[in-house]
Amino acid sequence: MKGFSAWLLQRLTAVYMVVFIPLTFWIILSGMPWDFEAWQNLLNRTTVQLAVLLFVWALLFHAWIGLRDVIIDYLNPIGLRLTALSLVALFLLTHAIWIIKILWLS
Amino acid sequence: MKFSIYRYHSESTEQPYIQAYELADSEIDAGMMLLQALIKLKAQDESLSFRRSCQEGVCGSDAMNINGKNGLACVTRLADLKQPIQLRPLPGMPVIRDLIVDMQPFFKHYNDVKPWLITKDPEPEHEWKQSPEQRAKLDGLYECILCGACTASCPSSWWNPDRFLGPAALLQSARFIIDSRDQATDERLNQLDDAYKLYRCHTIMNCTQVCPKGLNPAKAISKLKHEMLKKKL
Ligand code: SF4
Ligand code: FES
Repeated sequence: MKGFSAWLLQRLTAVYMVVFIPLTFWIILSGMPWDFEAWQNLLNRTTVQLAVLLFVWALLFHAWIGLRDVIIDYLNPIGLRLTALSLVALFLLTHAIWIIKILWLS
Repeated sequence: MKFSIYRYHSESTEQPYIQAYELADSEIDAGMMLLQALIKLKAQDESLSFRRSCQEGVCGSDAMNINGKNGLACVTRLADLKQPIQLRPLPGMPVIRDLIVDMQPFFKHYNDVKPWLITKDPEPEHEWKQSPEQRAKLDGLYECILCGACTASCPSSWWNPDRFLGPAALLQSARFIIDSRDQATDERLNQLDDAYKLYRCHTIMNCTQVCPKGLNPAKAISKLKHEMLKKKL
């Protein structure tokens, strides 16, 4: 992903996060009981699971594009740049998979 | 009046150094521009080198870093400058000698955006017509004198000088993409669609702050991103 598509995705993910974060706070703070059961009920709904998955993926994509920009700007030696990019990619990818495990397999 | 000027001469010195100069107050008139002072300093020390031509902000030859900000010496008033006046070559550009930098990479990027009208229709008998509204869209774009002050103030250009086109070339690109007579808009936009040429711009806006002609390259660049969005969707 490069150029225009990266630019667009960075903005779309930002919009999604801007909507998701206040909405989540609003749901949690507007009278939902504060116990494990209510929390589980909420997170057992497929729509909620998908929305959370989308949020985490949006966050990770957003972070990827942003960090890649920083690395391309500041790390010029090609070896260093590739190492940094691979480490970041590995870190983000782990989280992308981990969230699936959290949402559905535990 | 005191000056502190960057000196470098590839044939006689290994390392650049800073040299102090002084101009007697009797030599300075009210309203005098920095370039006039430089010309007088050159009379004192003929080895001091800088470019200039028109002396009125039209040719774009004498862009330099003046007290930390890029500008044209010929339209910068001496009286407005804090002393000692610090003169450096344009940052991020290879220095040839003293205040003279190698503009070759800068003009290569300019060339890369094909800064001329590309048309596919057969030539009209008289001229390519434009309505006053279409013509008005070119205001703020065509006036660029290619001095390089903006590109040499842009951190993205310092970091990726070979691959990021820089504000001046992108302003020119916008100038032809917006021109109603140009018929290569899609090709031009496609050419810009990679990680470097256009999208290294992070809207830092140094370009707009320094432009001695009062142009707004940052706005032209956001216009380009907008045109790209329109084309792709
Ligand atoms: S946009 Fe302004 S600063 Fe940049 S090259 Fe043109 S005239 Fe110089
Ligand atoms: S000498 Fe021509 S722009 Fe300054």
